[in-house]
Amino acid sequence: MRKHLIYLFLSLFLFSACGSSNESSQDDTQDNVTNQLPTENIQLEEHEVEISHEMMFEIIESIPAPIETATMIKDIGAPYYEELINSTSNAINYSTNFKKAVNLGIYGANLGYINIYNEVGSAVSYLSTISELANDLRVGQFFDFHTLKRLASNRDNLDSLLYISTKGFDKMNNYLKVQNRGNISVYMLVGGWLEALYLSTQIAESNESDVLTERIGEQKITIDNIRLLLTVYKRDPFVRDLLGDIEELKAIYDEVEITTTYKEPTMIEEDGALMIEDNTVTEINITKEQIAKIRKKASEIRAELIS
Amino acid sequence: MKDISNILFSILFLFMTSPSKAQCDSEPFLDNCTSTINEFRFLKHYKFRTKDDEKLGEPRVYGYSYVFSKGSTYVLTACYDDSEGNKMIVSLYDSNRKLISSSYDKKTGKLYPTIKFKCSSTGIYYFTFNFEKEEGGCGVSILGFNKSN
Repeated sequence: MRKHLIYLFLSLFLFSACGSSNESSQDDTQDNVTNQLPTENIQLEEHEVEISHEMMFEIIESIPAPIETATMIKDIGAPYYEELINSTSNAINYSTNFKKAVNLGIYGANLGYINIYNEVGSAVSYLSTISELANDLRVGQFFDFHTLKRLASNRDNLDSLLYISTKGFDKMNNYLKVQNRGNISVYMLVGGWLEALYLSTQIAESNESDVLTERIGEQKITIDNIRLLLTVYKRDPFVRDLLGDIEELKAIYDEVEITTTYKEPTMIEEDGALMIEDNTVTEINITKEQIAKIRKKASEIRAELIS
Repeated sequence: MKDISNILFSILFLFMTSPSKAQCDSEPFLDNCTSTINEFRFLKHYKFRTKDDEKLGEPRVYGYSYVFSKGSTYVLTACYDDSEGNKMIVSLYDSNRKLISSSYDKKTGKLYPTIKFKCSSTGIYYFTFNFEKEEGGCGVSILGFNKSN
């Protein structure tokens, strides 16, 4: 009975601890609300890196999803390049959790690209590979692979397939946050981000597009956070090597210029929703030489990761 | 001793079943919410369990961020349990943390269930979610972006 009581007190303590850990004062002034906003690009020296668990996941959640890049690539009219995506036959080479997680991110980005182009023939094998890697990392429970494979067999199911697979990755990320397995989240995220960069730079070589060029240049905003996230795990030799490469990529991005001209937004009501039109404008100045350097570096890093 | 343990187990049972601390199952909100973003593609979802994890009188403001790209339109929806007249408010801030707009206009009392943002300036944007009532609420928000035509 005494044992039961100890469990009970522990349970009650945990209930109250959960309640108090999220406390914040009630005040809806903008200042107080602003205090709840995640911290922007934290510039730290390497020896000073100390990021809270919460902050790390706030940064992770801010990184753009590869599906956006895949959609944009299709929007500019680029054809589908099957030869660019990571072959599923490579998966057998991934024996460490680092390689498995990074390539789970890469294959996830590939699956989005495949789905956007409705290449249903390839989707099933990528789903199987993702399933194997996710199970190895003990996060396979967030994908209903049976349903996904059924959806992938029909071109009319594109939206459902995209939704269920994206939701699976989203839920997996939330789970990893709760489980305090941030390293797996970071490796997956970096894999997905790098794959989107790789695909966009490769496709830009044969498909001239200002939109695509700007999207490549915009990654200057994200690479600081990618670098910061990797720095947290730099004790891992795999991460240390990758971090060195990302820093070289960042050095190229340091030459890219982004200027912003602020203007007040305008707002209208549209179909019952509040539509905000952003009137602030960013200009991204990136040269062809800089794109070529980014393409080369991204390709080198990616070749190392998928080997 | 048996009486004490019965009382404590009763307290624990109350903790688990009291309406104000009821479990928030946000999964149904998620699927229903997804159906409201027709022309947009799902990116992320954010869950809120303030009924479970907060003290009364101290509602939390949930803060997130995401890099929006110029040329894309983003949508933020609020799907929640409004059976008690509670309002879930979404606020959007720019890269300088300046408030762009909120889904709730206090002057008119108008509450928009959805905010759409047509982005012309790539950068990190911040958004917050909070419930108007002190006891918080249960719900989800979905972030989506515009599909190709």
